[in-house]
Amino acid sequence: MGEVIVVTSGKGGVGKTTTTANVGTGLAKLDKKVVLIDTDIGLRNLDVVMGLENRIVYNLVDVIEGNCKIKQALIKDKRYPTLYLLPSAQTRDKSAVKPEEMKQLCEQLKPEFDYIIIDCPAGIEQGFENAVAGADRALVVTTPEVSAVRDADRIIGLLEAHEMKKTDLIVNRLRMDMVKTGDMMSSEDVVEILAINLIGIVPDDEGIIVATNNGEPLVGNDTKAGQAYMNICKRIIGEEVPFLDLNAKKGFFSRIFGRK
Amino acid sequence: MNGSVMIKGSKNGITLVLSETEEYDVLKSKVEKKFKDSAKFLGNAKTAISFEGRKLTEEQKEEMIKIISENTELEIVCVIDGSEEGNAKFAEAVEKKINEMTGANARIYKGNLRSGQSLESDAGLIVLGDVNPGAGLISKGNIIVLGSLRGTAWAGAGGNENCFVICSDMVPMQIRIADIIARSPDHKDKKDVRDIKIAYLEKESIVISPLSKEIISGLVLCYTSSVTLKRDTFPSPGRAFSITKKGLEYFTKFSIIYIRVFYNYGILYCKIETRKYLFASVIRNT
Repeated sequence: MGEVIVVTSGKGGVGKTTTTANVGTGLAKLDKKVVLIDTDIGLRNLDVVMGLENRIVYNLVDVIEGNCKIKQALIKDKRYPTLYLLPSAQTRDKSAVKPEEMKQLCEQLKPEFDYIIIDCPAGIEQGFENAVAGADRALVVTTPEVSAVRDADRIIGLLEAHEMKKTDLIVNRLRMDMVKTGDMMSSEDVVEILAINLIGIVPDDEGIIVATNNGEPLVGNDTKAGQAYMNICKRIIGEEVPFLDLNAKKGFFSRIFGRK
Repeated sequence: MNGSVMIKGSKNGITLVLSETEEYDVLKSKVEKKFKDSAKFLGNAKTAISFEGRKLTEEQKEEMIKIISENTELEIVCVIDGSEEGNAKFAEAVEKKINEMTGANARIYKGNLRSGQSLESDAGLIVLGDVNPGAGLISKGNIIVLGSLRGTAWAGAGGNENCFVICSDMVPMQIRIADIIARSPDHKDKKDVRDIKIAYLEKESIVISPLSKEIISGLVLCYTSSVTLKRDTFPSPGRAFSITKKGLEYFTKFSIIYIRVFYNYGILYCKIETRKYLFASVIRNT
Protein backbone atom coordinates (compact mmCIF):
# COMPACT_ATOMS: atom_id res chain seq x y z
CA MET A 1 0.00 0.00 0.00
CA GLY A 2 1.38 3.39 -0.93
CA GLU A 3 1.79 6.42 1.29
CA VAL A 4 0.10 9.72 0.46
CA ILE A 5 2.28 12.73 1.25
CA VAL A 6 1.00 16.29 0.96
CA VAL A 7 3.49 19.12 0.46
CA THR A 8 2.08 22.29 1.92
CA SER A 9 3.16 25.65 3.34
CA GLY A 10 0.36 28.15 3.70
CA LYS A 11 2.43 30.95 2.22
CA GLY A 12 3.04 31.10 -1.50
CA GLY A 13 6.43 31.11 -3.16
CA VAL A 14 8.33 29.19 -0.50
CA GLY A 15 9.01 26.22 -2.78
CA LYS A 16 6.16 23.70 -2.47
CA THR A 17 6.14 22.87 -6.15
CA THR A 18 9.93 22.72 -6.38
CA THR A 19 9.98 20.45 -3.33
CA THR A 20 7.25 18.21 -4.77
CA ALA A 21 9.12 17.90 -8.07
CA ASN A 22 12.45 17.16 -6.42
CA VAL A 23 11.20 14.81 -3.73
CA GLY A 24 9.11 12.93 -6.30
CA THR A 25 11.98 12.64 -8.74
CA GLY A 26 14.34 11.66 -5.92
CA LEU A 27 12.06 8.85 -4.75
CA ALA A 28 11.78 7.61 -8.33
CA LYS A 29 15.59 7.65 -8.46
CA LEU A 30 15.52 5.41 -5.40
CA ASP A 31 13.44 2.97 -7.51
CA LYS A 32 10.13 3.82 -5.90
CA LYS A 33 6.96 4.02 -7.96
CA VAL A 34 5.75 7.59 -7.54
CA VAL A 35 2.85 9.70 -8.73
CA LEU A 36 2.76 13.47 -8.30
CA ILE A 37 -0.63 15.17 -8.13
CA ASP A 38 -0.94 18.89 -8.75
CA THR A 39 -3.99 20.14 -6.85
CA ASP A 40 -3.43 23.80 -7.67
CA ILE A 41 -6.43 23.98 -10.00
CA GLY A 42 -6.37 27.14 -12.10
CA LEU A 43 -2.72 27.93 -11.35
CA ARG A 44 -0.92 24.79 -12.33
CA ASN A 45 2.86 24.79 -12.22
CA LEU A 46 4.12 21.34 -11.40
CA ASP A 47 3.90 20.24 -15.04
CA VAL A 48 6.10 23.20 -16.03
CA VAL A 49 8.68 22.48 -13.33
CA MET A 50 8.73 18.82 -14.39
CA GLY A 51 9.02 19.83 -18.06
CA LEU A 52 5.91 17.84 -18.97
CA GLU A 53 3.53 20.65 -19.89
CA ASN A 54 3.41 19.73 -23.56
CA ARG A 55 2.18 16.22 -22.78
CA ILE A 56 -1.01 17.18 -20.96
CA VAL A 57 -4.16 15.82 -22.54
CA TYR A 58 -6.36 15.03 -19.55
CA ASN A 59 -6.12 16.46 -16.04
CA LEU A 60 -7.19 16.00 -12.43
CA VAL A 61 -10.65 17.49 -13.01
CA ASP A 62 -11.21 15.20 -16.01
CA VAL A 63 -10.44 12.23 -13.77
CA ILE A 64 -12.70 13.46 -10.96
CA GLU A 65 -15.54 14.21 -13.36
CA GLY A 66 -15.12 10.85 -15.05
CA ASN A 67 -14.21 12.22 -18.49
CA CYS A 68 -11.28 9.83 -18.64
CA LYS A 69 -9.70 6.95 -16.79
CA ILE A 70 -6.93 7.67 -14.27
CA LYS A 71 -4.41 5.83 -16.47
CA GLN A 72 -5.20 8.12 -19.40
CA ALA A 73 -4.48 11.25 -17.37
CA LEU A 74 -1.21 10.06 -15.83
CA ILE A 75 1.81 11.46 -17.66
CA LYS A 76 4.93 9.32 -17.58
CA ASP A 77 8.06 11.29 -16.76
CA LYS A 78 10.60 11.66 -19.56
CA ARG A 79 13.55 10.61 -17.39
CA TYR A 80 12.29 8.10 -14.84
CA PRO A 81 9.94 5.30 -15.89
CA THR A 82 8.50 4.85 -12.39
CA LEU A 83 7.52 8.52 -12.06
CA TYR A 84 4.11 9.84 -13.11
CA LEU A 85 2.34 13.18 -12.99
CA LEU A 86 -1.36 13.88 -12.68
CA PRO A 87 -1.58 17.50 -13.82
CA SER A 88 -4.09 20.03 -12.61
CA ALA A 89 -6.68 21.78 -14.77
CA GLN A 90 -5.90 25.32 -15.82
CA THR A 91 -9.31 26.48 -17.00
CA ARG A 92 -11.19 25.57 -13.81
CA ASP A 93 -11.02 26.58 -10.17
CA LYS A 94 -10.62 24.87 -6.80
CA SER A 95 -14.35 24.26 -6.41
CA ALA A 96 -14.23 21.74 -9.28
CA VAL A 97 -12.98 19.13 -6.82
CA LYS A 98 -14.31 18.10 -3.41
CA PRO A 99 -12.17 16.74 -0.54
CA GLU A 100 -14.18 13.49 -0.60
CA GLU A 101 -13.33 12.99 -4.27
CA MET A 102 -9.62 13.57 -3.64
CA LYS A 103 -9.74 11.01 -0.87
CA GLN A 104 -11.28 8.46 -3.23
CA LEU A 105 -8.69 9.22 -5.89
CA CYS A 106 -5.84 8.67 -3.41
CA GLU A 107 -7.37 5.36 -2.33
CA GLN A 108 -7.52 4.27 -5.97
CA LEU A 109 -3.86 5.17 -6.54
CA LYS A 110 -2.52 3.64 -3.32
CA PRO A 111 -2.32 0.02 -4.49
CA GLU A 112 -0.47 1.06 -7.66
CA PHE A 113 2.19 3.34 -6.25
CA ASP A 114 4.71 3.44 -3.39
CA TYR A 115 4.32 7.18 -2.93
CA ILE A 116 1.59 9.60 -3.93
CA ILE A 117 2.85 13.15 -3.52
CA ILE A 118 0.34 15.96 -3.55
CA ASP A 119 1.37 19.50 -4.40
CA CYS A 120 -0.90 21.72 -2.30
CA PRO A 121 -1.84 25.23 -3.43
CA ALA A 122 -1.02 28.25 -1.24
CA GLY A 123 -3.70 29.32 1.18
CA ILE A 124 -5.98 27.56 3.63
CA GLU A 125 -9.18 27.44 1.60
CA GLN A 126 -10.78 24.77 -0.56
CA GLY A 127 -7.55 23.94 -2.39
CA PHE A 128 -5.85 23.12 0.91
CA GLU A 129 -8.83 21.07 2.08
CA ASN A 130 -8.72 19.07 -1.17
CA ALA A 131 -4.98 18.48 -0.96
CA VAL A 132 -4.88 17.24 2.62
CA ALA A 133 -8.09 15.18 2.48
CA GLY A 134 -6.48 11.93 1.39
CA ALA A 135 -3.01 12.45 2.87
CA ASP A 136 -1.36 10.14 5.39
CA ARG A 137 1.57 12.41 5.97
CA ALA A 138 2.54 16.06 5.44
CA LEU A 139 5.71 17.90 4.53
CA VAL A 140 5.51 21.52 5.62
CA VAL A 141 7.80 23.76 3.61
CA THR A 142 8.92 27.10 4.98
CA THR A 143 11.64 29.60 4.34
CA PRO A 144 13.52 31.23 7.25
CA GLU A 145 11.38 34.35 7.07
CA VAL A 146 9.04 35.48 9.80
CA SER A 147 6.03 35.65 7.49
CA ALA A 148 6.59 32.15 6.07
CA VAL A 149 7.12 30.68 9.54
CA ARG A 150 3.94 32.38 10.77
CA ASP A 151 1.95 30.78 7.95
CA ALA A 152 3.64 27.42 8.47
CA ASP A 153 2.57 27.55 12.11
CA ARG A 154 -1.01 28.19 11.06
CA ILE A 155 -0.84 25.27 8.61
CA ILE A 156 0.59 22.90 11.22
CA GLY A 157 -2.34 23.82 13.47
CA LEU A 158 -4.77 23.00 10.66
CA LEU A 159 -2.98 19.73 9.91
CA GLU A 160 -3.30 18.77 13.58
CA ALA A 161 -6.99 19.58 13.38
CA HIS A 162 -7.17 17.22 10.38
CA GLU A 163 -5.45 14.58 12.53
CA MET A 164 -2.53 14.21 10.16
CA LYS A 165 -0.56 11.18 11.31
CA LYS A 166 2.88 12.58 10.61
CA THR A 167 4.05 16.12 9.88
CA ASP A 168 7.65 16.97 9.00
CA LEU A 169 9.33 20.27 8.33
CA ILE A 170 11.52 21.35 5.42
CA VAL A 171 13.42 24.60 5.79
CA ASN A 172 13.98 25.88 2.30
CA ARG A 173 16.25 28.51 0.81
CA LEU A 174 18.54 28.86 3.79
CA ARG A 175 21.53 31.19 3.32
CA MET A 176 24.31 30.29 5.70
CA ASP A 177 26.18 33.54 5.08
CA MET A 178 23.16 35.52 6.24
CA VAL A 179 22.53 33.22 9.19
CA LYS A 180 26.11 33.81 10.29
CA THR A 181 25.77 37.58 10.17
CA GLY A 182 22.51 37.26 12.08
CA ASP A 183 20.38 38.59 9.23
CA MET A 184 18.45 35.34 8.78
CA MET A 185 16.79 32.88 11.11
CA SER A 186 18.68 29.65 11.42
CA SER A 187 16.98 26.28 10.94
CA GLU A 188 17.21 25.81 14.71
CA ASP A 189 15.27 29.02 15.27
CA VAL A 190 12.57 27.84 12.89
CA VAL A 191 12.31 24.42 14.51
CA GLU A 192 12.10 26.02 17.91
CA ILE A 193 9.05 28.03 16.91
CA LEU A 194 7.29 25.29 14.95
CA ALA A 195 8.23 22.40 17.24
CA ILE A 196 7.89 19.59 14.69
CA ASN A 197 10.37 17.09 13.29
CA LEU A 198 12.88 18.61 10.84
CA ILE A 199 13.30 16.34 7.82
CA GLY A 200 15.50 18.54 5.68
CA ILE A 201 17.30 21.81 5.13
CA VAL A 202 17.68 23.01 1.56
CA PRO A 203 20.19 25.81 0.93
CA ASP A 204 19.40 28.68 -1.41
CA ASP A 205 20.77 27.74 -4.81
CA GLU A 206 20.77 29.47 -8.19
CA GLY A 207 20.72 26.03 -9.72
CA ILE A 208 17.09 25.67 -8.63
CA ILE A 209 16.05 28.57 -10.85
CA VAL A 210 17.89 27.09 -13.80
CA ALA A 211 16.43 23.66 -13.11
CA THR A 212 12.90 25.04 -12.81
CA ASN A 213 13.21 26.95 -16.07
CA ASN A 214 14.55 23.90 -17.87
CA GLY A 215 11.96 21.61 -16.36
CA GLU A 216 14.57 19.28 -14.93
CA PRO A 217 14.58 18.75 -11.15
CA LEU A 218 18.12 18.89 -9.76
CA VAL A 219 17.67 16.30 -7.01
CA GLY A 220 20.64 13.99 -6.65
CA ASN A 221 23.11 16.05 -8.67
CA ASP A 222 26.22 17.42 -7.04
CA THR A 223 24.85 20.81 -5.99
CA LYS A 224 24.13 21.35 -2.31
CA ALA A 225 20.42 21.71 -2.99
CA GLY A 226 20.42 18.55 -5.09
CA GLN A 227 22.05 16.61 -2.26
CA ALA A 228 19.75 18.11 0.35
CA TYR A 229 16.69 16.98 -1.62
CA MET A 230 18.15 13.51 -2.05
CA ASN A 231 18.71 13.30 1.69
CA ILE A 232 15.07 14.27 2.31
CA CYS A 233 14.00 11.43 0.00
CA LYS A 234 16.16 8.95 1.88
CA ARG A 235 14.74 10.12 5.21
CA ILE A 236 11.21 9.72 3.80
CA ILE A 237 11.85 6.06 3.01
CA GLY A 238 13.22 5.63 6.54
CA GLU A 239 16.99 5.85 6.14
CA GLU A 240 19.03 7.66 8.75
CA VAL A 241 21.01 10.36 6.97
CA PRO A 242 23.05 13.05 8.71
CA PHE A 243 22.30 16.67 7.81
CA LEU A 244 24.58 18.27 5.22
CA ASP A 245 27.33 20.56 6.34
CA LEU A 246 26.20 23.75 4.67
CA ASN A 247 29.18 25.67 6.00
CA ALA A 248 31.66 23.77 3.85
CA LYS A 249 33.57 26.26 1.77
CA LYS A 250 34.08 25.75 -1.91
CA GLY A 251 37.54 24.37 -2.56
CA PHE A 252 39.90 26.26 -4.86
CA PHE A 253 39.84 23.65 -7.63
CA SER A 254 36.16 22.94 -7.41
CA ARG A 255 35.49 26.66 -7.62
CA ILE A 256 37.48 26.79 -10.86
CA PHE A 257 35.73 23.77 -12.32
CA GLY A 258 32.38 24.89 -11.00
CA ARG A 259 31.65 21.87 -8.83
CA LYS A 260 30.17 21.92 -5.35
CA MET B 1 -50.87 -16.63 -56.05
CA ASN B 2 -47.54 -15.97 -54.53
CA GLY B 3 -47.62 -13.35 -51.79
CA SER B 4 -44.22 -13.87 -50.25
CA VAL B 5 -42.47 -11.50 -52.67
CA MET B 6 -43.87 -8.16 -53.79
CA ILE B 7 -42.38 -5.29 -55.71
CA LYS B 8 -43.85 -1.88 -55.07
CA GLY B 9 -42.85 1.14 -57.02
CA SER B 10 -42.81 4.76 -55.87
CA LYS B 11 -41.14 7.94 -57.01
CA ASN B 12 -38.30 7.16 -54.60
CA GLY B 13 -37.51 3.89 -56.25
CA ILE B 14 -38.72 0.40 -55.56
CA THR B 15 -39.70 -1.30 -52.36
CA LEU B 16 -39.22 -5.03 -52.09
CA VAL B 17 -41.69 -6.56 -49.66
CA LEU B 18 -40.52 -9.97 -48.46
CA SER B 19 -42.26 -12.57 -46.37
CA GLU B 20 -40.89 -13.14 -42.92
CA THR B 21 -41.80 -16.81 -42.69
CA GLU B 22 -40.42 -18.12 -45.96
CA GLU B 23 -37.05 -19.97 -46.09
CA TYR B 24 -34.40 -17.57 -47.30
CA ASP B 25 -33.21 -19.79 -50.15
CA VAL B 26 -36.74 -20.32 -51.38
CA LEU B 27 -37.33 -16.60 -51.11
CA LYS B 28 -34.22 -15.93 -53.15
CA SER B 29 -35.41 -18.00 -56.05
CA LYS B 30 -38.82 -16.35 -55.83
CA VAL B 31 -37.23 -12.92 -55.94
CA GLU B 32 -35.21 -14.00 -58.92
CA LYS B 33 -38.31 -15.21 -60.73
CA LYS B 34 -40.29 -12.12 -59.83
CA PHE B 35 -37.68 -9.76 -61.23
CA LYS B 36 -37.09 -11.88 -64.31
CA ASP B 37 -40.81 -11.70 -65.03
CA SER B 38 -41.09 -8.00 -64.54
CA ALA B 39 -37.74 -7.02 -66.07
CA LYS B 40 -39.40 -5.54 -69.11
CA PHE B 41 -41.85 -3.59 -67.08
CA LEU B 42 -39.17 -2.17 -64.77
CA GLY B 43 -37.01 -0.99 -67.64
CA ASN B 44 -33.46 0.25 -67.22
CA ALA B 45 -33.78 3.02 -64.66
CA LYS B 46 -31.33 3.92 -61.95
CA THR B 47 -33.17 3.68 -58.73
CA ALA B 48 -33.15 3.30 -54.99
CA ILE B 49 -34.40 0.25 -53.14
CA SER B 50 -35.84 -0.35 -49.73
CA PHE B 51 -36.69 -3.63 -48.06
CA GLU B 52 -39.82 -4.29 -46.09
CA GLY B 53 -41.44 -7.12 -44.22
CA ARG B 54 -38.30 -9.07 -43.38
CA LYS B 55 -35.03 -8.25 -41.64
CA LEU B 56 -32.10 -8.81 -43.95
CA THR B 57 -28.41 -8.86 -43.13
CA GLU B 58 -26.05 -6.69 -45.14
CA GLU B 59 -24.92 -9.73 -47.12
CA GLN B 60 -28.45 -10.75 -47.87
CA LYS B 61 -29.23 -7.25 -49.04
CA GLU B 62 -26.24 -7.34 -51.32
CA GLU B 63 -27.35 -10.71 -52.63
CA MET B 64 -30.75 -9.29 -53.41
CA ILE B 65 -29.20 -6.35 -55.23
CA LYS B 66 -27.04 -8.78 -57.16
CA ILE B 67 -30.08 -10.83 -58.16
CA ILE B 68 -31.83 -7.69 -59.33
CA SER B 69 -28.92 -6.47 -61.40
CA GLU B 70 -28.45 -9.92 -62.95
CA ASN B 71 -32.04 -10.32 -63.96
CA THR B 72 -33.13 -6.83 -64.89
CA GLU B 73 -31.74 -3.73 -66.48
CA LEU B 74 -32.20 -1.83 -63.24
CA GLU B 75 -29.25 -0.23 -61.53
CA ILE B 76 -29.67 -0.01 -57.79
CA VAL B 77 -27.72 3.01 -56.65
CA CYS B 78 -28.97 3.40 -53.16
CA VAL B 79 -30.47 1.38 -50.33
CA ILE B 80 -32.96 3.12 -48.11
CA ASP B 81 -32.56 1.68 -44.69
CA GLY B 82 -35.23 1.85 -42.03
CA SER B 83 -33.39 0.08 -39.21
CA GLU B 84 -32.46 1.96 -36.06
CA GLU B 85 -28.84 0.97 -36.38
CA GLY B 86 -28.75 2.21 -39.93
CA ASN B 87 -30.35 5.48 -38.91
CA ALA B 88 -27.83 5.93 -36.11
CA LYS B 89 -24.91 5.32 -38.44
CA PHE B 90 -26.46 7.68 -40.89
CA ALA B 91 -26.89 10.37 -38.26
CA GLU B 92 -23.25 9.92 -37.29
CA ALA B 93 -22.09 10.28 -40.87
CA VAL B 94 -24.22 13.36 -41.27
CA GLU B 95 -22.87 14.80 -38.02
CA LYS B 96 -19.39 14.36 -39.44
CA LYS B 97 -20.47 16.09 -42.59
CA ILE B 98 -21.87 18.97 -40.58
CA ASN B 99 -18.53 19.29 -38.85
CA GLU B 100 -16.73 19.36 -42.15
CA MET B 101 -19.03 22.05 -43.37
CA THR B 102 -18.19 24.45 -40.59
CA GLY B 103 -14.71 25.03 -42.00
CA ALA B 104 -15.66 28.02 -44.04
CA ASN B 105 -17.23 30.17 -41.33
CA ALA B 106 -15.19 31.59 -38.52
CA ARG B 107 -15.48 33.41 -35.25
CA ILE B 108 -13.07 36.31 -34.94
CA TYR B 109 -11.57 37.23 -31.60
CA LYS B 110 -9.34 40.21 -30.91
CA GLY B 111 -7.12 40.16 -27.84
CA ASN B 112 -4.56 38.02 -26.09
CA LEU B 113 -5.58 34.73 -24.54
CA ARG B 114 -3.81 34.18 -21.26
CA SER B 115 -3.20 31.08 -19.18
CA GLY B 116 -6.48 29.47 -18.14
CA GLN B 117 -8.53 31.16 -20.86
CA SER B 118 -9.93 29.20 -23.72
CA LEU B 119 -11.96 29.93 -26.79
CA GLU B 120 -14.31 27.46 -28.40
CA SER B 121 -16.15 27.66 -31.66
CA ASP B 122 -18.40 25.39 -33.68
CA ALA B 123 -17.09 27.15 -36.75
CA GLY B 124 -13.54 28.24 -37.51
CA LEU B 125 -11.56 30.51 -35.23
CA ILE B 126 -9.46 33.55 -36.04
CA VAL B 127 -7.50 35.15 -33.20
CA LEU B 128 -5.95 38.58 -33.59
CA GLY B 129 -3.48 38.37 -30.71
CA ASP B 130 -1.31 35.93 -28.82
CA VAL B 131 -2.30 32.62 -27.28
CA ASN B 132 -0.12 32.08 -24.20
CA PRO B 133 0.93 28.79 -22.59
CA GLY B 134 -1.97 27.37 -20.61
CA ALA B 135 -4.53 28.96 -22.94
CA GLY B 136 -6.39 26.91 -25.50
CA LEU B 137 -8.32 27.19 -28.74
CA ILE B 138 -10.90 24.59 -29.71
CA SER B 139 -12.55 24.80 -33.07
CA LYS B 140 -14.56 22.38 -35.15
CA GLY B 141 -13.14 24.14 -38.18
CA ASN B 142 -9.82 25.77 -38.95
CA ILE B 143 -7.75 27.97 -36.65
CA ILE B 144 -5.83 31.02 -37.70
CA VAL B 145 -3.77 32.98 -35.17
CA LEU B 146 -2.32 36.34 -36.16
CA GLY B 147 0.13 36.40 -33.29
CA SER B 148 2.11 33.86 -31.32
CA LEU B 149 0.56 30.50 -30.63
CA ARG B 150 2.28 29.34 -27.44
CA GLY B 151 -0.62 27.42 -25.92
CA THR B 152 -2.68 24.61 -27.35
CA ALA B 153 -4.84 24.60 -30.46
CA TRP B 154 -7.35 21.96 -31.52
CA ALA B 155 -8.66 22.27 -35.05
CA GLY B 156 -11.30 19.93 -36.44
CA ALA B 157 -12.52 19.14 -32.93
CA GLY B 158 -15.55 17.43 -34.46
CA GLY B 159 -13.35 14.98 -36.34
CA ASN B 160 -12.68 16.78 -39.61
CA GLU B 161 -9.21 15.74 -40.71
CA ASN B 162 -9.01 18.41 -43.39
CA CYS B 163 -8.72 21.17 -40.82
CA PHE B 164 -5.54 23.13 -40.31
CA VAL B 165 -3.88 25.66 -38.00
CA ILE B 166 -2.10 28.69 -39.36
CA CYS B 167 -0.08 31.03 -37.11
CA SER B 168 2.22 33.94 -37.70
CA ASP B 169 4.43 32.54 -34.92
CA MET B 170 4.13 28.80 -34.42
CA VAL B 171 5.50 27.78 -31.01
CA PRO B 172 2.61 25.71 -29.63
CA MET B 173 2.57 23.52 -26.55
CA GLN B 174 0.30 21.10 -28.36
CA ILE B 175 -1.57 20.97 -31.62
CA ARG B 176 -4.49 18.67 -32.24
CA ILE B 177 -6.18 18.09 -35.54
CA ALA B 178 -9.24 15.83 -35.39
CA ASP B 179 -8.11 12.95 -33.12
CA ILE B 180 -4.36 13.36 -33.65
CA ILE B 181 -2.21 15.11 -31.04
CA ALA B 182 1.29 16.48 -31.51
CA ARG B 183 3.33 18.01 -28.70
CA SER B 184 6.20 20.45 -28.88
CA PRO B 185 9.73 19.05 -28.81
CA ASP B 186 11.33 18.97 -25.33
CA HIS B 187 14.28 20.97 -26.53
CA LYS B 188 13.52 24.08 -28.51
CA ASP B 189 15.35 24.61 -31.74
CA LYS B 190 16.90 28.06 -31.30
CA LYS B 191 17.66 28.39 -34.99
CA ASP B 192 13.98 28.19 -35.83
CA VAL B 193 12.96 31.45 -37.49
CA ARG B 194 9.72 33.26 -36.80
CA ASP B 195 7.62 32.70 -39.85
CA ILE B 196 4.02 32.07 -40.86
CA LYS B 197 3.50 28.35 -40.56
CA ILE B 198 0.73 25.86 -41.09
CA ALA B 199 -0.03 22.64 -39.25
CA TYR B 200 -2.04 20.03 -41.10
CA LEU B 201 -2.68 16.34 -41.06
CA GLU B 202 -0.81 14.05 -43.39
CA LYS B 203 -1.04 10.27 -43.06
CA GLU B 204 -2.18 10.33 -39.43
CA SER B 205 0.53 12.68 -38.25
CA ILE B 206 0.66 16.43 -37.89
CA VAL B 207 3.03 18.25 -40.20
CA ILE B 208 4.20 21.81 -39.57
CA SER B 209 5.68 23.68 -42.48
CA PRO B 210 6.07 27.23 -43.78
CA LEU B 211 2.98 28.42 -45.57
CA SER B 212 3.87 28.19 -49.23
CA LYS B 213 1.68 28.90 -52.24
CA GLU B 214 1.60 25.19 -53.09
CA ILE B 215 0.25 24.34 -49.65
CA ILE B 216 -2.40 27.05 -49.79
CA SER B 217 -3.63 25.79 -53.13
CA GLY B 218 -3.85 22.27 -51.73
CA LEU B 219 -6.08 23.24 -48.80
CA VAL B 220 -9.62 21.93 -48.71
CA LEU B 221 -12.39 24.15 -47.44
CA CYS B 222 -15.93 22.87 -47.14
CA TYR B 223 -18.76 25.25 -47.82
CA THR B 224 -22.30 25.18 -46.64
CA SER B 225 -24.90 26.30 -49.09
CA SER B 226 -28.32 27.23 -47.97
CA VAL B 227 -31.06 25.35 -49.74
CA THR B 228 -34.75 25.82 -49.43
CA LEU B 229 -36.85 23.00 -50.65
CA LYS B 230 -40.48 22.18 -50.54
CA ARG B 231 -41.52 19.77 -47.89
CA ASP B 232 -42.78 17.18 -50.28
CA THR B 233 -39.26 16.64 -51.54
CA PHE B 234 -38.73 14.40 -48.52
CA PRO B 235 -40.89 11.39 -48.91
CA SER B 236 -39.18 9.04 -46.50
CA PRO B 237 -38.91 10.80 -43.15
CA GLY B 238 -36.67 9.33 -40.49
CA ARG B 239 -34.94 6.93 -42.78
CA ALA B 240 -31.29 6.52 -43.38
CA PHE B 241 -29.96 5.43 -46.70
CA SER B 242 -26.73 4.02 -47.97
CA ILE B 243 -25.29 4.17 -51.40
CA THR B 244 -24.46 0.85 -53.02
CA LYS B 245 -21.20 0.10 -54.78
CA LYS B 246 -22.93 0.45 -58.08
CA GLY B 247 -24.43 3.70 -56.92
CA LEU B 248 -21.08 5.05 -55.85
CA GLU B 249 -19.63 4.23 -59.25
CA TYR B 250 -22.59 5.89 -60.77
CA PHE B 251 -22.40 8.99 -58.62
CA THR B 252 -18.70 9.40 -59.08
CA LYS B 253 -19.15 9.03 -62.81
CA PHE B 254 -21.16 12.18 -62.66
CA SER B 255 -18.47 13.43 -60.33
CA ILE B 256 -20.95 15.47 -58.43
CA ILE B 257 -22.30 14.41 -55.11
CA TYR B 258 -23.77 17.09 -53.00
CA ILE B 259 -24.44 16.00 -49.50
CA ARG B 260 -26.32 18.78 -47.87
CA VAL B 261 -27.50 19.05 -44.36
CA PHE B 262 -29.87 21.77 -43.42
CA TYR B 263 -32.70 22.82 -41.16
CA ASN B 264 -36.13 23.54 -42.40
CA TYR B 265 -39.01 24.27 -40.05
CA GLY B 266 -37.07 22.76 -37.17
CA ILE B 267 -36.40 19.54 -39.06
CA LEU B 268 -32.87 18.50 -39.89
CA TYR B 269 -32.61 17.13 -43.37
CA CYS B 270 -29.90 15.46 -45.34
CA LYS B 271 -29.99 15.43 -49.07
CA ILE B 272 -27.79 13.70 -51.58
CA GLU B 273 -28.07 15.12 -55.00
CA THR B 274 -26.63 14.33 -58.36
CA ARG B 275 -27.46 16.03 -61.62
CA LYS B 276 -30.34 13.68 -62.19
CA TYR B 277 -31.29 12.07 -58.91
CA LEU B 278 -32.16 13.21 -55.50
CA PHE B 279 -32.27 11.22 -52.30
CA ALA B 280 -33.26 12.89 -49.15
CA SER B 281 -34.00 11.99 -45.60
CA VAL B 282 -35.05 13.55 -42.36
CA ILE B 283 -32.39 13.14 -39.71
CA ARG B 284 -33.90 14.75 -36.64
CA ASN B 285 -37.19 16.28 -35.91
CA THR B 286 -36.48 18.78 -33.17
